[in-house]
Amino acid sequence: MHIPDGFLSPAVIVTTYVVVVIFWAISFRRVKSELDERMVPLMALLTALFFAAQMMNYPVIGGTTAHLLGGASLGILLGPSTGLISMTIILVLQCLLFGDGGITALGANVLNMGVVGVLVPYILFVFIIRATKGKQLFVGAFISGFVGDVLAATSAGLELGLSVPTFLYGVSIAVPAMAIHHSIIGLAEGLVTAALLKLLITSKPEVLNLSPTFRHLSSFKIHQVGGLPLEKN
Amino acid sequence: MKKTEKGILYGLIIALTFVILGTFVLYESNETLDMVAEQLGVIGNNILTAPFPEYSVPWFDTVWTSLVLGMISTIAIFALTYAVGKLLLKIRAKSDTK
Repeated sequence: MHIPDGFLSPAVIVTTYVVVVIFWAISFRRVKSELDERMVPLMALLTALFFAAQMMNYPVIGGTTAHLLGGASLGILLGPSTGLISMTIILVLQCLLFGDGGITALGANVLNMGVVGVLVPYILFVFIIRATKGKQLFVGAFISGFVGDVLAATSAGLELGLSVPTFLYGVSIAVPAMAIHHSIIGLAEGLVTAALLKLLITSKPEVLNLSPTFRHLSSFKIHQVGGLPLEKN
Repeated sequence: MKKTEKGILYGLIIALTFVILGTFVLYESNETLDMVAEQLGVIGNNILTAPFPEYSVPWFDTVWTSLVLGMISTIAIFALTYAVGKLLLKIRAKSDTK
């Protein structure tokens, strides 16, 4: 999903950079309320974990491959602002050290995988958990992971499609091509997100009570999520 | 060993296992975007020359150097993010005292 240099039109490059700079500014302001001392090791570990996870390419359809994004897990466990900063660190290093994604497309890549890929799953997860009063953790995490991945790919397809004639095919071809292929890996992303949360609930519940998302949920009078009693905010 | 340190160690072992799998098993990359671009004859050339293109060491390109590079960069990302997290907390503490 990493867009290289040469695929996006100047207008799309400028627009995506501007949007991302706004989100970075908001995140750096908001991260103050999300992050605390005890969360720093978790932030570092999840960033390293999903950087490594992005190295694994899974066969999807038509001989193509895709990799997990990790955006949903980062957004849910670290909160949207810290999650965006984590994903930005991954994407900047991939771009500068490994040539995975171009420098002119960095704004677009952060917008797709960092903003859409992190923020959308976070919002969906909070919505589903609130709507089900904390009973559908697995469903919430799965849907968040799946939709986050598909929308991140759709956003990439949209940027490419809007970059005609730099990129030869328009929105009607680029968007479905990206979205359909990534819906397969989206299923895996959903399962991984749900499994990770389930694993943490059973083995390390204290980690989830550190998460700003779970602390935020407790302020909506949600007393438990997937059987995990929430500490009062 | 403290509980947190143990958790970090286990997490890093899992991350390094991902690197091993990504180097030896799930290494073949043929992303939709690359495939569509290839079919259309669109060539994406990165402006900056990356020191380790495609997660390999250009002057000594073997699967083992890729593995070591992947492991070192995973640990470096952990350390860098840890430092960024601490820095953000420091900035917050400074702004709180003002």
